[in-house]
Amino acid sequence: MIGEDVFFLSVSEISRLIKRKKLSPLRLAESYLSRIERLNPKLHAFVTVTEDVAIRQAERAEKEQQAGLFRGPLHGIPYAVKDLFSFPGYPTTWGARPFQDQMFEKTATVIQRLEVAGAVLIGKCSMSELAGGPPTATATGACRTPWNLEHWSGGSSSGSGAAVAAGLVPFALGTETWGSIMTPSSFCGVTGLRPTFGRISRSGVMSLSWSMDKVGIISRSAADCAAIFDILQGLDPDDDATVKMPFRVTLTKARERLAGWHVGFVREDYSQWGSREVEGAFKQAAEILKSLGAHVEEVQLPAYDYEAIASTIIASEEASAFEPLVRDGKIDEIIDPDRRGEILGGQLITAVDYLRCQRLRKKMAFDFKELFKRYDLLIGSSTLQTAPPVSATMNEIFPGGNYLEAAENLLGLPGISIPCGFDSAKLPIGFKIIGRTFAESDIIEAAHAYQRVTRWHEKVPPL
Amino acid sequence: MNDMSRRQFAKTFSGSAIFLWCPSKDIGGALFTNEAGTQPEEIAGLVLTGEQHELVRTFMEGYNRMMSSAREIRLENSLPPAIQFVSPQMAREKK
Repeated sequence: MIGEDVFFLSVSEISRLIKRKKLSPLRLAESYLSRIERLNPKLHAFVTVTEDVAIRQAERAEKEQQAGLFRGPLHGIPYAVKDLFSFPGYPTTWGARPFQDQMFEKTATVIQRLEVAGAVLIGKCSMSELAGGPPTATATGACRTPWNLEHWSGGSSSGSGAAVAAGLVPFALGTETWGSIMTPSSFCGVTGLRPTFGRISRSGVMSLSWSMDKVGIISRSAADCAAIFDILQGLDPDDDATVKMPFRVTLTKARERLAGWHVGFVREDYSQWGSREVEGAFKQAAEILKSLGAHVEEVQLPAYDYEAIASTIIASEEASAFEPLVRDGKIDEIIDPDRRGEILGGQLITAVDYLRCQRLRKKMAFDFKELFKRYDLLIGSSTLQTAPPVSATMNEIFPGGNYLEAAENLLGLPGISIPCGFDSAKLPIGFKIIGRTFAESDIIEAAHAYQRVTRWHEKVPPL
Repeated sequence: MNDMSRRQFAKTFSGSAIFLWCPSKDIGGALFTNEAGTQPEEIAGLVLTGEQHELVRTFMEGYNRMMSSAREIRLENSLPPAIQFVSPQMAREKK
């Protein structure tokens, strides 16, 4: 087996060792599998371990390594996916009781792309049921943050965040419709990239809201996110929303580029909605960006009822996506009663209301286009609190505030959540950098510049 | 924020005995009896159990309250919805 420190190396560091034949992809995969076996009962991060696939893909990577063939930065790198990405031969449960035996013949496009890149699928991660709900609303038990096993890892990409943070896998895929990558990244102290809407294919991925769902990446650094994003992004004939846009990130020039950028920070009412310690860590992060040369100033978001608009759009689209549950009566198997009410009640939202919200969304896009003439980036706290106890209710976890989160998701803007400190309970704190549509390179470069001068993303949980 | 846990919904959907369902945007705030509340469900072709009906009632009450201010905003006639299920590139690609 390999040393404990390898589990917390970045993708690029592991990749270098594989390329130089100093690390066997097969031994690496076996070591991760054994670590998962040891730690997963505490964390509930994995619902399925794809051991046979992992060994097969790792053996292939190893043979190629020995033959001097190197597919690129993900050659032999283990990874996991949220349990809403389809993969034949294994259940895709969507975290929900009615779908515990659900199987698909299709392989999700992103998994196909990662296979071509030489990555090794280790397993499928736990998630909130149908991508939403409180900690206990999942078919496999609340997923824990490795920083404190009594606390939630966040949702809905719960297992993806916990698995990366615990060193069970170097990176994992998740999805976000409204906060589902940012929240677990923040609660688990890892780096999460939510790309622009349409950048990464959702083919073979559970639909919650067709106009808002995005596939994203959770890893240990912004640099890792860049390498993985480069492989995943682009046009896919199986997802009509996808686009092909240039992606040129220059990490070596990240600091130079950040200097001179105008950064708007969104002030939150932490005393009402969050924690003063989160506020303190966010202010320090903003100061660091300033010290790197960015012009940071407070920004006012255009006045919209962001939450009402996002809620109505998602509730309408999910009511359609999950209509079969209503028609066949299986809705009663959904654990969270609020969620049952939303899917049932969503059947009754009028088309006029839905279209009104979509039209307000258009108006919002015009206003943000103006806003981004003055600012290159926006920053805010990823979550206003740290990881809550697993018994917490949604009202306790998300009492309000963070309207930027609804806005950035309605507008399909790219965002990255990065660790920026810990609270007095030693739980991680994250802040986010939001960019213009298709400006993934900007947010990654800014995050990388920050991570070059801080060490929060390198901290290891006490497991 | 957790995708489908919307805080606003969760916050406002705490139980209440009054069902404020309105089938048209023009009669927001109208008070309906519990029995009248079953009509939209029937129109949607739903046959709900008592518990399900209660969940819907709670949801719709909060939803209606939440949407009330959004319904007040005047929108220009020409403002289109922002729905884009097919990217222009993909549309060209498929031709």
